Amino acid sequence: MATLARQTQLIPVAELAPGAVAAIRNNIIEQVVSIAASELGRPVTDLVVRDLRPYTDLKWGTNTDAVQAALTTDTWICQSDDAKNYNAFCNAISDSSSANVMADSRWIAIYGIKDLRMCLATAIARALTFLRINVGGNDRVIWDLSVIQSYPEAMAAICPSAVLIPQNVEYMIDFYGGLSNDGSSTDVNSYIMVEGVVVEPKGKVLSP
Amino acid sequence: MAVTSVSENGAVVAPPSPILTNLIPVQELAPGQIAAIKNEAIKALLAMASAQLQMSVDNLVVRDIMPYTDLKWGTDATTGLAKAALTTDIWYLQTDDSLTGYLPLVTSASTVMGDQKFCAIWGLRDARGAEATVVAQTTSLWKFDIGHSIKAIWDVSKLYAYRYNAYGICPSPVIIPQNVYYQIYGYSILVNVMSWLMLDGCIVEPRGKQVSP
Repeated sequence: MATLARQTQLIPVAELAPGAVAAIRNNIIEQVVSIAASELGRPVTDLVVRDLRPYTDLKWGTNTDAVQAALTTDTWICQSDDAKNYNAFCNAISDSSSANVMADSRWIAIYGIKDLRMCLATAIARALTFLRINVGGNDRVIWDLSVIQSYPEAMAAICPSAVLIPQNVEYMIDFYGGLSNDGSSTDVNSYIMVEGVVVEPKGKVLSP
Repeated sequence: MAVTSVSENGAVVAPPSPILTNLIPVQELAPGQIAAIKNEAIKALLAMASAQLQMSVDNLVVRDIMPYTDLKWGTDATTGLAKAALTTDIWYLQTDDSLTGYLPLVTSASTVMGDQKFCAIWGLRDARGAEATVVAQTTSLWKFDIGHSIKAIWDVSKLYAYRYNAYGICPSPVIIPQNVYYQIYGYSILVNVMSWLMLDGCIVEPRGKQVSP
């Protein structure tokens, strides 16, 4: 039997069978919970699965290599610096003082992306074309964000293989512009967010 | 998440599982899952209310949440999310014109759930897509503090990938039992703009307290 290739491609949710998104998400959560329970030596009932906080958990948009102004709050919306990331991958996570090391007792699985820009009164142009995620010094995925452009009413895509960022491991997310470099300070906002979950012990942030 | 097993006496045993507090856009759920999550939440809330009130479930009613009457939604205009305190049963409010970050919704004088009243919150809706002029996103995260413990942090941003159906649901509802402290926080990222977000959930209470079906 042939070995199955690792599927790292991004698939628009509009192209998946009903229930497939839930199946992929549930499978990924089950795997991350299992890894976290094993590494922490705790039962899975001691763990919580929660949403990502863009700044607090990931330090999203904190590197001015990729964005105009480093974010300091929990939002995904940032201004893409097209003078730098036009036709080039640029770091979007601050790498100063090891800010890009996952916290202790925290695991993050990233399994998709979403674009929020169609929910504006006037939908703006897209800012990014590719997203690259590096964990532990290895590029884990390179996602083509263009695949969701065909579905303006459902701008979400999911990957069958999650990117796992384990506790205390270095990671980096890179933005790739590739659309234009207007040469001015009127850069376009990026409304791209990554979809995923955080797994950590009860009481670290949540106590449900 | 995992396969259930059958115990020696034939009972179906659910496997141990972590608590899933993540918000999921309804478009990403399998058919029937929304109803299943809601029904489970209502069943759990009825069981809790029935046990605490020593009343049979026949004597209880399940109804929609009234934002002001039940939750005192948008009543904190001093340090809170609302620019002007709400005094009526409506979810919509204007965000504060200067404060950002986590801002409380409920004025500190009203942060205890009513007696004989139990509330379950299992989702968030955003009605801004239905307005003539669609405003921008006002909040990113929503945090629920019940009994001085943070029970959930939901990222509402993920709903906006779906232009016309911004509705998300959580597999584990946030429960506010009677007479228990609660506070709800919205993480403001845009000042002085209408927020069209509302919570999805229900109230369980004795018949006759509010409605008498």
